[in-house]
Amino acid sequence: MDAAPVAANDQEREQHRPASLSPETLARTLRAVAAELERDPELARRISGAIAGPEAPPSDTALRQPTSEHGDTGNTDEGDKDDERVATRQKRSTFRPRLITGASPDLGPGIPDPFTLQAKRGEEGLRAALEELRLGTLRAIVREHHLDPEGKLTRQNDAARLRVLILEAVARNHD
Amino acid sequence: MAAICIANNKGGVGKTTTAVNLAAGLARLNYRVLVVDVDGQANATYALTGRVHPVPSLYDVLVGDRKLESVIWQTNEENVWLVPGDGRLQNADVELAARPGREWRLAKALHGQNYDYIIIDTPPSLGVLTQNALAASHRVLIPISLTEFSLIGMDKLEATIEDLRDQLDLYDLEIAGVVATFYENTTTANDTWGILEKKYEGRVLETRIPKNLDLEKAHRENESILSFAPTSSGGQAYTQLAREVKRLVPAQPRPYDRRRSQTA
Ligand SMILES: Nc1ncnc2c1ncn2[C@@H]1O[C@H](COP(=O)(O)OP(=O)(O)OP(=O)(O)O)[C@@H](O)[C@H]1O
Ligand SMILES: [Mg+2]
Repeated sequence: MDAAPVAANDQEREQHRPASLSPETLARTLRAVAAELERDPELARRISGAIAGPEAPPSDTALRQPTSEHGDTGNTDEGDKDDERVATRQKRSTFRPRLITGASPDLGPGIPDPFTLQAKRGEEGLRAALEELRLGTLRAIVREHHLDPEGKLTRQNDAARLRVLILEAVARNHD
Repeated sequence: MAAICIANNKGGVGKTTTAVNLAAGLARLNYRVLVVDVDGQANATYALTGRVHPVPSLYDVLVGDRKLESVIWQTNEENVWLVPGDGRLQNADVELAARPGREWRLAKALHGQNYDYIIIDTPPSLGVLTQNALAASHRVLIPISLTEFSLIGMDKLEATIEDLRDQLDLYDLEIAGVVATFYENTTTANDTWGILEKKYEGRVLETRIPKNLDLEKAHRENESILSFAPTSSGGQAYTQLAREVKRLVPAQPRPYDRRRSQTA
C-alpha cells in the first residue's frame, strides 16, 4: 500500500506507540481517527473533554487508546454515549476490531422500516431509534412510506418534524 | 452500464463527496446508480445510509465468498443503491495479497449487474483495493483539490493506472478527466487551477466544485447535497458535474461485463 499523507501530529504520536502495533496499522488508524476528529468538531470537543476531565488518565495514554480500536472511525451521533465509549476504550488493552451496524444494530440493511421497528421495540423503542437517525434517513423513511404525499415537509430540513410525522403515521397504523 | 472509479491516492481531496453527490446527480437524471464503497473508512456508506461499518459488507464479497447481491442496500437517495464498506477493508490489501487474480475480485463480483452507472469510491492509497476498483472500471475520474501542494504525487496515480493497464490488459480503461474541488477565489486556488489546466490539457472538466460547507453538512446529515441543499453552490456544482459526466461517459444499455480478457 502506498504511503498516504500522515498528519504532522501522527508522527509525533508514533514515538509513543504500543509495541504490539505495526507502524502501518498505527498510522492508518491514527489517520482514520484524525480525519474523523477534523470532520467532526463536536466529537473532537467531547474527546478532548474526556482527555482533560478529572477522571481521565493523562493525555498521552488517553489519546492513544481509541486508536487500538482499529476500524472504528467512531459514530459521532450518539450524544453522551460517546463519552462512555471513550471511557470503555481506555480500559481495554487488546487490539480487537469492533464492528457495529450503525447507531442501532437491529435497523437492518437499507432504509429502516418504522413499522417493523415499532412492532419489535414498541413506541418508545421506535422513538429512541428515530432520535438517532439524521435528516437523510428520516427523509428516506418518509419517502419510502409515502408519509408526505405533497412533499411539503420533506423539502424542509427539519428532522424533529419528520420524526413526529413518522411517529404519527405509525401510531395511526397501530390503532 | 458504465463503471467510473473515483480515485486519487491523496487523502481528503473530495473523492467520497464526489462519489456520493455525482451518484445522486446522475440519479436525478433518471439513471439507476450503484455506489461501491471500497474504502475501509466507509465514509460513502455513512453519507448514504447513516450506518457506521455495517456487516456484512463488500469485505465479505472480496475476501469471503458472499454474493454481491446480498449486500446491495437501498440508500437514502432515490435511485442510488450501495454496496457498503466497513473497517475490515483496511486489512483487505494484506489478506488478498497472496490470492491469484486478486485485482479481479470486484470486477468478477459485479458481473451481470444491471445499473446505468456504477460509481466506485476508493481509499487514499494505491493498494490492492484501489487496483480492484480500477480493474472494475471503464473510466477514472480524478478529483484534485485546488489547495497548496495538491498536485504533488499525482504522477504516481497516473503511473499506477498505466502499469495496471499493461499488467491486466485493461485496454479500455481511461481517465475520464480531472475534476477540481475545493475551489475558492484565492491566488492559490487560481494558480493551481492554471497549472492543472496545463498539466491535464483537455482533460480538466468544466465543472469546478467550490469549497462549500453545505457539502460537509450534507455528509453529516447522511444525504447528498442535492437533497440537503440543492441550490447551494455545492449543489449547483454537483448537478452540473452529473450533466457533464453523463456527456463524457454515456451510460450503456447493457449489463456489467468486465473480465480479464486474456488468461482467466
Ligand atoms: N467542496 C468541498 N467544500 C467543503 N468541504 C468539502 C468539500 N469536499 C469535501 N469536503 C469535506 O472535506 C472532507 C474530505 O472530503 P472527502 O471525504 O470527500 O475526501 P476524500 O478524498 O474522500 O478523503 P479520503 O482520502 O480520506 O477518503 C470531508 O469532511 C468533506 O465533507
Ligand atoms: Mg473518501
